[in-house]
Amino acid sequence: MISPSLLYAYAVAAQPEGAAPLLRLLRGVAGIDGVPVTLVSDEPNGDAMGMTVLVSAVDSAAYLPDQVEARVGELAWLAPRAEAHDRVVTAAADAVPVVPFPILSLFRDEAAVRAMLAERRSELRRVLAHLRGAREYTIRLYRDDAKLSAALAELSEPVRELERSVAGASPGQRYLLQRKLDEERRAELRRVSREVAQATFGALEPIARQAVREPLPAAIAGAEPRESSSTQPAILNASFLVDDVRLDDFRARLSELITAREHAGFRVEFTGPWPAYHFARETRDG
Amino acid sequence: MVEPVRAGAAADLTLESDEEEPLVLSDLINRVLDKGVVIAGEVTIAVAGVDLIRLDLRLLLVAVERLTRRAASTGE
Repeated sequence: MISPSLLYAYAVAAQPEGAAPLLRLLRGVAGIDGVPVTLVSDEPNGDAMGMTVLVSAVDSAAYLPDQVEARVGELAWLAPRAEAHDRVVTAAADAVPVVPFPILSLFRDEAAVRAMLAERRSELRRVLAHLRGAREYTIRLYRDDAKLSAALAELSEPVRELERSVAGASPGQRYLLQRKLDEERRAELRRVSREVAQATFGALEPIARQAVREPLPAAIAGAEPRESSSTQPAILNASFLVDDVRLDDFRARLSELITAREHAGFRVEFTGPWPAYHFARETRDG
Repeated sequence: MVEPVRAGAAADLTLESDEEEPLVLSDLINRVLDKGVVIAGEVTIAVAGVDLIRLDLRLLLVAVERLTRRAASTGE
């Protein structure tokens, strides 16, 4: 190679279970910039667990810190790299447990990768053990404002009462009462949403090995704090690390919840299995 | 029973026309970003040995922010 290269790191797996299946698998997966994916492995002495890191050799001229920092804000530059990163990590995670690196993790050379492995071995080992036999799934819950508004009187005592008052009010009172009712409806819509989100998370959390609620994706959470143009705002964004042997329980519980919520205007988006993007760092507390 | 849907790379998404899919793209970047680390402006600290190259990714955060706002304004 003419210009010196840096190593772009995607993820870490355990040796020896990772090495062979990953090599087979990665022959068919293009890495960042279309560069093939290779492995950097270490062979520690004694009974310490060996690790293997998925890497691609990238042109250092394009990935020196000032180069990256200058271009990382350009979506046309960033998008294919985010996609390649996810593609490689996903392919690997489908085969063996892996700890993903954040996007744009770069090492100077193989020695630097091995030094990282030596330094982080016990933590990586703990995380890999935590991930074994489980996969990550994400659940987003969206509220359908039209449907939920229609069902709101059924769900909310204060709204029912105000509706009765409006119906029985004189024309003079009606205007003020109607405004109060509109306000109450908005508040109740938010309250019911919070309750449904909490109940959904609470019903699924005990089935999962680990669970995390995340901020709502800003783009679809526009309804809070100000009412947005979106009529299907997200009300729950949560990720679950689910044991493979409990996945059917998890799906059954989710199916029940969907059946129970459908009429009131909630929509569930259930995606996965993902690489364990949300559960690969949570070791310090556990 | 409800089946999980594969998304991200697993779904063979192509993001070449990111103008059309700001939400998908910002979601993907958020996933591969490890925000706990990048909030401080640097990728790496959580995984870093001294030899891991440190990058200032604040611009990346700005880009993602811009994407999500664009998605919000299209009401998606």
